[in-house]
Amino acid sequence: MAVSLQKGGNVSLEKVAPGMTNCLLGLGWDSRATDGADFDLDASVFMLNAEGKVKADNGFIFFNNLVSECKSVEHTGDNLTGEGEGDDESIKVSLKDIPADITKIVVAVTIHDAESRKQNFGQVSNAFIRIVNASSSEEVARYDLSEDYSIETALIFGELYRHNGEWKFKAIGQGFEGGLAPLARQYGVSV
Amino acid sequence: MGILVIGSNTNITQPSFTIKHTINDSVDISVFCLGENGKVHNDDGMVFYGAPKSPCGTINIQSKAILVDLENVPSNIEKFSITATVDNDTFASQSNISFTGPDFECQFDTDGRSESALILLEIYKRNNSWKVKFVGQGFNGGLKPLAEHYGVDIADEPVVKPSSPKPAPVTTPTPTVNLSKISLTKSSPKVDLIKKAGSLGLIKVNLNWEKGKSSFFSSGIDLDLGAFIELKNGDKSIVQALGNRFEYSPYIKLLADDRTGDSSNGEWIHIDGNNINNVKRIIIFTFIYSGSPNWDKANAVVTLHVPDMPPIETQLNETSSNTGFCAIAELTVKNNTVAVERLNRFFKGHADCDKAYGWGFKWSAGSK
Repeated sequence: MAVSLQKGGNVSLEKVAPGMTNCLLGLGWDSRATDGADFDLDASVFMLNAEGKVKADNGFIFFNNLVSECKSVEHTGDNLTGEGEGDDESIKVSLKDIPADITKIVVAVTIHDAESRKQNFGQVSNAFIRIVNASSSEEVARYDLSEDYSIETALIFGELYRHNGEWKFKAIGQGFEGGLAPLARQYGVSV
Repeated sequence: MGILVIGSNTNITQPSFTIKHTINDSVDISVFCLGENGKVHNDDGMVFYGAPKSPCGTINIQSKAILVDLENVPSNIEKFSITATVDNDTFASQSNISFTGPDFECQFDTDGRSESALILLEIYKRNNSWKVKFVGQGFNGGLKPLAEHYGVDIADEPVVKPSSPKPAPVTTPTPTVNLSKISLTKSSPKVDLIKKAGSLGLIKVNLNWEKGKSSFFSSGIDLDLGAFIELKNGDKSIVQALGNRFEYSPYIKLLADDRTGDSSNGEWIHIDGNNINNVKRIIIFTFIYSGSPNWDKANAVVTLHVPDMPPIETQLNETSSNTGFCAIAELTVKNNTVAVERLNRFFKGHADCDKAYGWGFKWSAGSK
């Protein structure tokens, strides 16, 4: 039984999935039922050090840079519409291969072309992030964002972070202004 | 008071309140009462001009206002969706729409909107309290895709609003008579066959329909043609493929069963017009043997071919949803004249139709 997280809640991965070494961060949302431009949500990952910055630009994993240099984080590709059951985008994380100086992995989601399409997260139904144990395909934790956002066009869904030598996951659900570029800059990526 | 933008929501603090709006009277407002799955439980779940109060008493649509009373919402209703539709137009030609409630205010900018049906507000239960959300999304195709989105089946033809302020259409949609055929329609449902009963020759009744696109999810539709016959001496019978009752000699005969509608011919019934003086009445019917009861897509047409007369046709176009059986036409023989009347009445099945027309048979399920 997966742990259901509320905004701000966190869970120890060692407790909910003892011995898990490879996990999948799955993100999903409902494809648009009404007429108009599709909701194209893009997931991005920032691999951050203790200062809260990427070590280099390739610590920013997104649709144009799908695999981290250390190969521990891999974005499986872009889904343009949210169509289909289950995860619409997923990120493979090999926990044991994450370099020791990376203390936090932030997962953010932005709505592609939100401004020109006049879209925000309040229009997207049933968005979620979940962690799946890659070896057993079992869902270990889940955060349904449904009511925690409305007018945002970019959201930090959640983060994996080291705490006393183990990995934890925290449901963040926090919006940020201006889309992907300012967020990337904040984390030290040159864009 | 919160000002909502599209996508945002806020808590409702009063159980009973009025939402005032500026929607033009020519726009139809409908409210869908939805269960957990986002669909209506039944057709009562659609509140509209024809039925402006929801059965649960929560919603009451008035001009310029919607009254909402959340005190006694049935436990199986999770959401009320407030929608608006325009006929044969888009919302771009409407003025901006504003809503004002006790806890919220919102303005919908109609500029450039291509939709003919809009989901404007949702009132929904969240953690046991009620919230309102400004949705502002919709469907270019109007009421039909909107209603289907919420699980309501509606016929293709728009319901005519009795007190509609819109001008009535200038042309009648179906010509009553065309050059080569006699069309039986709702407005002219009856025709007398010109020859005297007893010298009519072979009357051929044809049912044809479109199989429809056979997709991954839906196979085609199989319509069966059948007839009820009652003689003047009181004898009665049914001809139909179901139960292999192909003939009632010498009066009526069903030819081969077309399982798909692929055959350009469709299904045929032959009536011996020279023996028809012994007949009191014949009711031609069709039913959906397999496939969903989607008459709209079947485009079924029934044509009577009588020697030396133009073909008489009637289309099954005033359809009703979720009914698999249609009484198409009735032939009655009186005073040496045969009259053909369009019925176009839909039933759940044989037994219902039997009841309506007094056939007096006992019905049980069968297959062919």
